[in-house]
Amino acid sequence: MNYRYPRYCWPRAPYMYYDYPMRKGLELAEAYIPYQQYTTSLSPMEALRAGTMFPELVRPYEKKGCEGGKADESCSR
Amino acid sequence: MNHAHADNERRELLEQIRAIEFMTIDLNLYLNTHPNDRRALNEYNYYTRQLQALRREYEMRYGPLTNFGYSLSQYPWAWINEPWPWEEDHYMEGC
Repeated sequence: MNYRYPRYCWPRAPYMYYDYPMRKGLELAEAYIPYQQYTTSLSPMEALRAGTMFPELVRPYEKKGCEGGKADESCSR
Repeated sequence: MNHAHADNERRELLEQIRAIEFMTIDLNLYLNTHPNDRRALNEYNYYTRQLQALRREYEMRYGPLTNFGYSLSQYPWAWINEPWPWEEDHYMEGC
C-alpha cells in the first residue's frame, strides 16, 4: 500500500447539497462596492498617522464621550 | 554634536522612512486593483526610489535596518549593534 498520497475523492458538486438555500426560494448574498477613483493623496507623514493615503478612506476610531480616544471610566462599558 | 541631537536626527530619518514606506504599501494595494493607473504607478516608483535612497542613507549612518539578504554589513557584523530600528524606548530616553 502506498500511504504517500491522499486517496483521490470526487469533488462534491453543488447538487449534492440537497438543502441548499436556493431550493427554498432564497438567494445567496451578493456584495457591491463602488470602484475607487484616485483624486488626491495625503502627505506621507499624514498618511502614516491616518493609516491611509486616501482622504476618502480616513476612518478614525473615536468613542463618544472619550477625549483623544483615551479609555477612562466614563467610556468603558 | 551632542548625543541627544544625534538620536533626534536618527529618529527623524527613521520616521521619514516609515512614512515613505507606508506610501509605497498603500500605492501597492491601490495598484493591485487599478493596474492601469499611470499616475499611481508613477508615484509608486517615485516613493520607492526615495525609500531606497533614504534606506541607503540611514544604513550608511546608523547601521542595517534589516538583516539576512536585505542589508549589507560592514565589519564587524553590525546587526547586533543596539539599538535596533524598532527599539523606540532608546530614542525616547530623556523625553
